[in-house]
Amino acid sequence: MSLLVIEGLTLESSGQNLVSNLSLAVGPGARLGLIGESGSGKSLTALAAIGLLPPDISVKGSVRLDGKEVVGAREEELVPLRGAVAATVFQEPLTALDPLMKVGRQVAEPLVRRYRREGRALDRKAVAREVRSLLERVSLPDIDRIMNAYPYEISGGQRQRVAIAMALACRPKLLIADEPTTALDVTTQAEILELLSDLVRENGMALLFISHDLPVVARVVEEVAVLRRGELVEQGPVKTVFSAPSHDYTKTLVSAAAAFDQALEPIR
Amino acid sequence: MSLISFDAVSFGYSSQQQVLHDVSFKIEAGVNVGLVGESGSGKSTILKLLLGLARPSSGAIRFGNEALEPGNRDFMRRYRRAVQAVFQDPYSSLDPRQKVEAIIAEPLRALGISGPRRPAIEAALRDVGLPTDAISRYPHEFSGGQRQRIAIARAIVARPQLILADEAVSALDLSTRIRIVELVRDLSKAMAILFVSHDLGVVASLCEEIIILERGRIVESGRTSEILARPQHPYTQKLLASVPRMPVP
Repeated sequence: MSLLVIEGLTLESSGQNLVSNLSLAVGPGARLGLIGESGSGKSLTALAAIGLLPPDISVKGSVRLDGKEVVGAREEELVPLRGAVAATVFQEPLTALDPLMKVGRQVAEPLVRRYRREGRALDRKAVAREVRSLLERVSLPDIDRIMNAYPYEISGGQRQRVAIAMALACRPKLLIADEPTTALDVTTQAEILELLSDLVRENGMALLFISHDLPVVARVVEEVAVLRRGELVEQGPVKTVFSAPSHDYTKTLVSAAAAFDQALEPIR
Repeated sequence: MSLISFDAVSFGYSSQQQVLHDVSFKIEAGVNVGLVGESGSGKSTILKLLLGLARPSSGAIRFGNEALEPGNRDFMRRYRRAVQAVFQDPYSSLDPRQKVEAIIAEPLRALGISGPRRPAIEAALRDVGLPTDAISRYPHEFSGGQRQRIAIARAIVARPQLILADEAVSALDLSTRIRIVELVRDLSKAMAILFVSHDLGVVASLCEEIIILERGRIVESGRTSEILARPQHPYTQKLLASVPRMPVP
């Protein structure tokens, strides 16, 4: 059974369709990339998947997370799904982290929630140990300093690693990453992409990776879906879609990305 | 004689905090140069110095054979006529209360360039691929890519020798970005571009020469094709290896 099943999803705001009749599925351990330009509805789709859509958007269709309907569900029904089934990493780690909370406590928060969910005793030392090991797993240096630092005291790449550690703390079955490297430098981006692929593989997590950047998506997923103005125009394995796109819009995107890529050809 | 030369330029906001160290490079007429670096590399500081918004702590910047003198109005008028800029965000770089005509005419007005303005504005609009009836409209009526075309029209209306492009396509969607890059490539037949960007693919497709900056220092510079093929400095090697590539079919 698929972890995330979106069926006939239509999102509408003031008479305008932001997403139209979208259907997607992500199975356990699968890695799907959602590609689109601005206004394609890719981020709204991510928010819809975890039931975090703004209230002024009307929703039709169905979104099931691990078999449970998200559309129309009450907040109390959604809370247990978030983290346990799906955790999200957003684009801007500075706004995703609480500016007034030290990193260590911030990572401990979802961890404590998981301990409660699993009915485990809340042992402070055990929590601290696991926070430390999570920060180690996302390859953060100087963990004593970072645990005691506020988000503004660490770099952008380090903040994104913290956000990933928080998502991992939930042990989700599905990780949703919405442009997780767009705000980062190229060298940092390469490290975070590698980290994400490793973690997803090691933990057998499924991944829904949202991005406008074709080569970035190609680095982490095996299948892509292309969105344009809220409509799914094409879906298939990365290699097929990027080498032989069938829809005109995908062709435009692929040929633009290939042109910039070609300019770098002396590297190869 | 070079159009612009940086000779051992250093800059710091305070004596403890040096952000540019001993930076030297030249921009020749008609040659596109890419200035590449990550955050904190000093790209924006170099642009600030080139725009005359800051002065070097040491070293010299020259325009032709004259020293860059931000305080000298006569000099700055000549300099701005020759050196214009296009910025990253076309939503904040165009005055929302002015019509396109006034926006594009701005350098002609500010630089006191005489002669009829309308033909110059219409020519600039044609050069950037916008219809001439755009003249009587406001920025909000245009998409991001079209706005960037307006910003470019404003930069070229006084027929400068050099355009400073600060991440000028980074905010644009891929399908728009490729068209603006093509436009800039066409325009650069008549002028040089200093293209400041973190995006190596864009820089490589536009610039014959490239300068790689890391933490305020030039680590490597030269012909783009050579640096891509044989990067010498470890940082350049790391940077190139980090660029995500399209999968090989």
